[in-house]
Amino acid sequence: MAIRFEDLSPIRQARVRRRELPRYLRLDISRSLLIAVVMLCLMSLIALGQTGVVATKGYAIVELETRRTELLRTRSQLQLEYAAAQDLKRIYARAVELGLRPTNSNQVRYLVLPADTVPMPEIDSESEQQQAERVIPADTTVDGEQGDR
Amino acid sequence: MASHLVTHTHNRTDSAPAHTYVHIPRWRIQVLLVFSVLLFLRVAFRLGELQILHSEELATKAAREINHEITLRPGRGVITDRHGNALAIDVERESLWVVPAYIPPEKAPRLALTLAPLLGQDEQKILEAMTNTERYWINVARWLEPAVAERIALLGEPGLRLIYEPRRIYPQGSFASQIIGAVNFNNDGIGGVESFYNTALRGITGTLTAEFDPFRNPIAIAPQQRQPPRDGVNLTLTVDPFIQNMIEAELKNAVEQHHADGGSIVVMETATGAVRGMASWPPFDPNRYYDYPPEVYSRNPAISDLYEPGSTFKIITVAAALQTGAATADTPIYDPGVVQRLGIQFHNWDRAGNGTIDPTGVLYYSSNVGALQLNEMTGAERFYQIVRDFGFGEPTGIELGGEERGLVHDPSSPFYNDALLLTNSYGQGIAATPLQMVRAAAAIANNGLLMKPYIVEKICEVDTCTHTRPTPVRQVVDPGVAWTIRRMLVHAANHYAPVVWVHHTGSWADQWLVPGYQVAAKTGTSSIPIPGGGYDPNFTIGSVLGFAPAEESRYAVLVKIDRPKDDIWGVGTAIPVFYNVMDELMRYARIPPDPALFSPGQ
Repeated sequence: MAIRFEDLSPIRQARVRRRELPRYLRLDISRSLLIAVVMLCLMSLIALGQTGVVATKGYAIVELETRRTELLRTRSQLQLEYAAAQDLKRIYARAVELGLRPTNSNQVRYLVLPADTVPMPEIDSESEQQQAERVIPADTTVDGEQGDR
Repeated sequence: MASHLVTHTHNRTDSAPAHTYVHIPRWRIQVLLVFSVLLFLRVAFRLGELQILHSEELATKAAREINHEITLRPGRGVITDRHGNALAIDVERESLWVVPAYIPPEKAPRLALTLAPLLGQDEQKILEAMTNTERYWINVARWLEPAVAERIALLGEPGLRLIYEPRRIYPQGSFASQIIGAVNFNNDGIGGVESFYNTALRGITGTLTAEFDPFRNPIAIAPQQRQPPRDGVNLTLTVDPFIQNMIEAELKNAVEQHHADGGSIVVMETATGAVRGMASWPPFDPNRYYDYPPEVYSRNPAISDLYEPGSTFKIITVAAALQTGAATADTPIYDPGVVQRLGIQFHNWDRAGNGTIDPTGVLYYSSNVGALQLNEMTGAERFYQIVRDFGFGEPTGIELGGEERGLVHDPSSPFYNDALLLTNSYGQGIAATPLQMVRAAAAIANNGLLMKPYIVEKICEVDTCTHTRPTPVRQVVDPGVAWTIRRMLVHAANHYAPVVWVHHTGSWADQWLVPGYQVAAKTGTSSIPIPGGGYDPNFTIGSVLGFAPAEESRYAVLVKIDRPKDDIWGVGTAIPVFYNVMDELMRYARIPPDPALFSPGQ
């Protein structure tokens, strides 16, 4: 490498350095290697970033699944409580507690009404539907107030 | 180090920068190079050793460490009644495991003392588990109540582990227990629909193959193979909660009142064959099925217990005679009370004669002698053909495990003899299940059309539901014959009504059994065969088989009371129960009473 020993002004020195810069950056085959390394680093960074994102989402999924499991457990527990509350023996006992009494056949009155005057209750079978069109069970009376039959 | 360097300094003007050249001996670079090459070779060799020589072994070890296949358990299907109330449901409950290695020996007795009342277990047993160092962990209690599990968790003991496990729970206890059945500790059904639909209810197990972190969570960035589980189907039964509850209560009262050994009540919708209620005594709580004998929790007496139907079978005898043309409704039959056939004496229940009667009288007086004469007119071949047509001697095909087919010894059977034709006419020497009996009565109510009984109304898998359609089996008797028998049975029912109504009406005359309705019914008192031959001289089975209303019938009902201790006659034990059931059913079905069908005093 030739070295010139010339007295140059600072501006000229800077210009000379600028002109010589490409020479220093000319790396020939090393440049390709360097670019490859930089690319590799970039790709690694991207991969690492993606892995991080996936891992974060993975943990979020695990957390959500845990939450889902807890909610399903709560749901099944509530279903269980609901089902237990439908127990007719329990309902009967509660009704008795409230002072209600079961009806007997003497207390039931039937009113025959035209089918189109009152809303029909939801009934499953066809025969039930036919029956319901003919008769609506009327309200019941308490003991001692038996209706005519 | 500086001393080894040769420095060349170019003397220049003071302002010029000094340039220094460092000379490194070549041998040092070569040593460094050789060292680097050796290092590289070592690394390469080690890599080769790990990646090539021990590759398989290490890969296996690594896989074993982090790769796992776990089983994804499907949820067992929910069973509901026809109104959607859950009768069987899977709920996750915590089970308690102890890890002895994490429990200091000096702390164990105190911990066992704390847990004993919470778990309802013996303190010593818990202590033994806590000090058993031969095993890593030991199960102490399964399926704890949430409140108990919470209290144990609050103890904060590292040696106590609470792990969720699915448990089959029957929220309504013993309600419809024989229909539903139970599930054992292996999640297999052991009775009822739980057993019959076990495979469908269990669902299909899934798997997850993945890498797992130390907390047993799958690592998301690693490849996973997931075969999702398929939950079991949900079953909707035909059982009506009101009817089931009502017949269970009636059966309980009757068994307690008569100190009976057991009994069954079956309610079937006559037009469809849907079973709306099926109760048997004794019941059991499927949540604690293991507290009961196997014959209680694994059998449904309404389909598994065979009994000789007794006089209720006379309905079939009369139907056979009318259908085959061997007799008409007006055919006279002389009933002296006792007759001699094949060298054997056959007699009525009271040995009293009824004079000349017709088939209506056979049912009305429950005449054994009249019934056997009808069978003589019909003949064995035609009689047993009708018996088979009514479905006796074969399972009904209901979707419940453990159904019996019954015993019918027709002429093709090696056990047949001529006396059987005569005894079969009044329901002896032939065995049927309660369900077979009620189905036969339903066929009479349904204008002679025999329906296949069913207990599952709907099967749902995810969003797809399959509804059970009523299935006609065959036309057993002509509609006209069925109508005639219905009229006869209404008379017979009214004949028994005073047992229920005499305290109100003060009369033993015929009266309406359920005021306002025409009810068709026949009572029966069945003798009980004993091992070694003959019949139990002390006890009987009282039963009533019938349906209502007689025309446009809705429900067929069988009431059967086993071995009542206070009354051996079916009329006394079963008729009041039958009346109560029918009375409730008519109101529940919103069938208006006919004001003309009331007897004085009712």
